[in-house]
Amino acid sequence: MRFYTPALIEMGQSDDDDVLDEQSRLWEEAAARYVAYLDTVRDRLPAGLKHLDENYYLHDAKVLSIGKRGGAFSLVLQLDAPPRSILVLAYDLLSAPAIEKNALPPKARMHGGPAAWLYNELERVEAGPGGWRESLLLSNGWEVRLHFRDVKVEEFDAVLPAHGDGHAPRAAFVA
Amino acid sequence: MGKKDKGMQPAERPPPTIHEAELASGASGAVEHGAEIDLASAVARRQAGSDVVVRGADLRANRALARSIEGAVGPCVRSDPHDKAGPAALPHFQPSQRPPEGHTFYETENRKARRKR
Repeated sequence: MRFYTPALIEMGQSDDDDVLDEQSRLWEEAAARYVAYLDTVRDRLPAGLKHLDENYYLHDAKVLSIGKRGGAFSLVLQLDAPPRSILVLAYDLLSAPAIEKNALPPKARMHGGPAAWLYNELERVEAGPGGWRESLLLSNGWEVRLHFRDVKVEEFDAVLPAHGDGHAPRAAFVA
Repeated sequence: MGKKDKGMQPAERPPPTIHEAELASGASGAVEHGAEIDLASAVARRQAGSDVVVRGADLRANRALARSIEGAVGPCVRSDPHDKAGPAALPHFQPSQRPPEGHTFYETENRKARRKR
């Protein structure tokens, strides 16, 4: 993560008001720099990535599963905002994914239940095969780094986990 | 926040208020506020996994109250909104150990919850 750095997120866990005020200022600066960069490459986003960028807010989405097979990498998310749809992201990889499992300091991690999608950063790759790099920071402390052509996005109405409570709906068993 | 509020010293500003809250659907990341509630109701609402928001003109007071609400539920972490979010997306505290789900949001000088439609 080049903009939403783990150090900045850790700074945001301080109990000191002066530190938190400074962290907020730095956060807004980092966000402005990232948006300025993204604006320079946004018109080159491939269709799937453009759809994802324009239609979803992924912060605090539950990461229900992560899978890989050959050149494909998938994430199954449940969005935090109503109606808490299930989103299946299938990345068409250009190189092997990398996962750093201790990217986030312990103080800033969340535990129990599925990890949450915290922040992501996109970067256009100009050299070699081109494509895009994405860094995803998860609440369990992982940073997932992907290099890919595009991502296929499918949205489903949530059935399990059920809307709202994150728990399975009550089931009736008939003998 | 109005011009009158900006000129006030923190000690002169009205105390923050706590409200029921919900995330808006869609890509905005916006927080919508509902009825004002008291501290005990806010903690009960958070324990049940629903959202609350602390509103007011004093960032430090808002943040401190939000932290105390979430702290009454259990250990918590603080998060900032992502760049894509609009001005109604708010920083928040949430449990470091799930469940419960949900967040205690708080307003800043530039980020305000919007009224629930």
